[in-house]
Amino acid sequence: MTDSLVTTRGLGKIIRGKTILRDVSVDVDPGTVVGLIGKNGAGKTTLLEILLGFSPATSGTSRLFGHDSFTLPAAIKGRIGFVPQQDELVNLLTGRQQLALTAALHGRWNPDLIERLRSAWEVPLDRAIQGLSGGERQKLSILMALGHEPDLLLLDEPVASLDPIARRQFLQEMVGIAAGRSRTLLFSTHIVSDLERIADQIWIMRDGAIAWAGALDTLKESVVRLTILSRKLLPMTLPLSGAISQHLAGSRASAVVTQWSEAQGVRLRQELDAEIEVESLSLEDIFVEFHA
Amino acid sequence: MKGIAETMLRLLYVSRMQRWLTGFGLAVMLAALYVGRHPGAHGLVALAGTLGAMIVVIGPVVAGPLLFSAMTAPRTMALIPHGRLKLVLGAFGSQLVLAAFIAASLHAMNDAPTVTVFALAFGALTAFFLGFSLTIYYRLAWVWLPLLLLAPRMLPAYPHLGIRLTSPQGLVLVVAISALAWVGYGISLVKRRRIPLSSRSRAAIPRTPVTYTPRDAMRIMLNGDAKVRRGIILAVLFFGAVFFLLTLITAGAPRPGGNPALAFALTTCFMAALMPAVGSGMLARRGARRLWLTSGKGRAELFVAIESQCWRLLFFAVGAGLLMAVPLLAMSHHSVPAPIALVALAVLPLSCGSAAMYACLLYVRGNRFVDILIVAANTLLLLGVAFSAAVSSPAFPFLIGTQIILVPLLRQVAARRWNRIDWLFLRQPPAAARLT
Repeated sequence: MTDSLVTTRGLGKIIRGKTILRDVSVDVDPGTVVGLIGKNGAGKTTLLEILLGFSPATSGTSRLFGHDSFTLPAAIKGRIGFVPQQDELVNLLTGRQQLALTAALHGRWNPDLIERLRSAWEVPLDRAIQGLSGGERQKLSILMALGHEPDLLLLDEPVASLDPIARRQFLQEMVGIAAGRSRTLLFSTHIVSDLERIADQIWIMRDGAIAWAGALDTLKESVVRLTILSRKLLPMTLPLSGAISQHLAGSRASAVVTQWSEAQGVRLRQELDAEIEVESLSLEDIFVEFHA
Repeated sequence: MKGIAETMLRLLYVSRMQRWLTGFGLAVMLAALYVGRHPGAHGLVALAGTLGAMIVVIGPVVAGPLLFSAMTAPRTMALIPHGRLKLVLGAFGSQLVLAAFIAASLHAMNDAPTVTVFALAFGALTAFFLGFSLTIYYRLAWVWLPLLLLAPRMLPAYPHLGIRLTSPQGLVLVVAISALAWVGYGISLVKRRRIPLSSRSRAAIPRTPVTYTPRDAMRIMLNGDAKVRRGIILAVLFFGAVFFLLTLITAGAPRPGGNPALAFALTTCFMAALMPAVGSGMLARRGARRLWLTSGKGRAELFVAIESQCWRLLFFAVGAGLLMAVPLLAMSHHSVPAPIALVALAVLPLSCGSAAMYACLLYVRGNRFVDILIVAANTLLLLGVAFSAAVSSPAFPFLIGTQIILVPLLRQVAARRWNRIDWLFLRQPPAAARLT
């Protein structure tokens, strides 16, 4: 049993009377790669900002490495890397100067790692930051977050501005980083295929709450689409546990459930006197069904 | 028409805070008008009324050109039929409304001649708006700023200029030149195929070393610029040169009433303090977010670090202002300035600068009524101190004393706000917004 690096219990955030987060209770174990996915405005960025102590929670608790997020001590901050959704670079500096500033502030820095990544990602370091493209700025932000070799890396939509090649390189690097030193990654994204490539755990956010949290394999096994063809008229409400959508038409029905098991299948077949076809869903389909 | 009216409204009510300021300023004005009707009303009442009018107009005057530049810059604006033309007409209309408001309020409070004030206000607003708009895009365009100092300096020295300016022909000339300036600016804006990004996008890359001490790194992260001091020195030197030239031009000319040289020096020191205080305070609020994870400092420690950074800049700016103002003041008077003048020159900018700095630092919770009220009251007091100093009012010692007492209180409020600072509200705008 390992202690969780990130723990939240009943986390809530209300801004000007609007509920942004509600009752978020999650844990992240060391060495896991967690993908956070949700629609725009689902509360992903707010959750990350509260975890990192940028913003106070309205209710509940949030702890990183066992410490309260809002009052993180310096030693803990040194173990965290963060790539914000909107970069926070100093426009009048060059990339090299920006990296040097970050290195000076952190104290601990791995120039070899940065040089290797810079070279692989082709980040121009001797041009003014304000002249860089969105993707180049993003890459620079990622370099800044990796230079001090953090144990926990939080990335808020890190690949949004990257081209497909850079995105693939970045994801490969993330896999290497996560595996190499048993680092923990928590990243939000809209690109579902990226999650399938590298995430062990998936958190699906909907309307400020965690709609589903667990291992990617479990998610794919337990969230399925059922096509039910009964020999009799189906009831108005199907006896399905964890149904997120269902459509009925006489003796035919289709439904998406989140807690599918073989035992449930046997029970349903007997109860409804029906043939049940079980279809696995891609992560993208699952995401869409959660938000349908 | 709708587009023009919408632009006017946007430029007059730049933000929600501006609505609050307008309400507050109008309330002060109306109260002053009501109290001022009673016989034997104190002179301060008229001053308060004028300050109320200033609070109403200061937001649109200062932020209007900034907003206008941001509105005209996007290339998509060129695709909207007559988009830029509507923007220019809206901006022109907003300045007419502001000039009319200034004329009406000064007439109501001081019986100032409406037409004269309207024409002069329109001329001054036009010069400020167009000058400021150009300054945002062209780095060298900021040389227009000293022109604002020309009139207050020249008119007392050469009264016949003022008489000519306020004559019917002079007023017609002012309005005609202003209108022509708008026409010229409008044509150049509409015809231009692409409006350049801010001049800062072509700023020289500082040749600073690529190793920093943590302290220097913090300073740069907070200010967003490695060479703030050089900028201040250049600005002070430039204004010093202008002051010197104006002193030469007006030397020996009659100076009816007051002491224009001292007022000028006070204004220079005041502005030298105010700009870095407000600027560093505002930059630090956002810059501090960058340091939360990297500097290893807690919220209270960050506040202290930022505060000391702002104070250093303030002392530096005031010092530079004094170094320039005192010798020129001495030259203007052909003698060393009186000790009381020197004290005023140092105390006024430090007091006003620190009050403005803490007001900026405490404004970290978004638009909250209490915070808006504190900032508005502080601005009112700040303007009161500056005006009473400029006209050598007997109220000056009382007002500056009040301000000095209030500075530690403002600091307390700011420190308390920082202990619960929520950086969700202070995130960087998206890159696209920054570019436009």
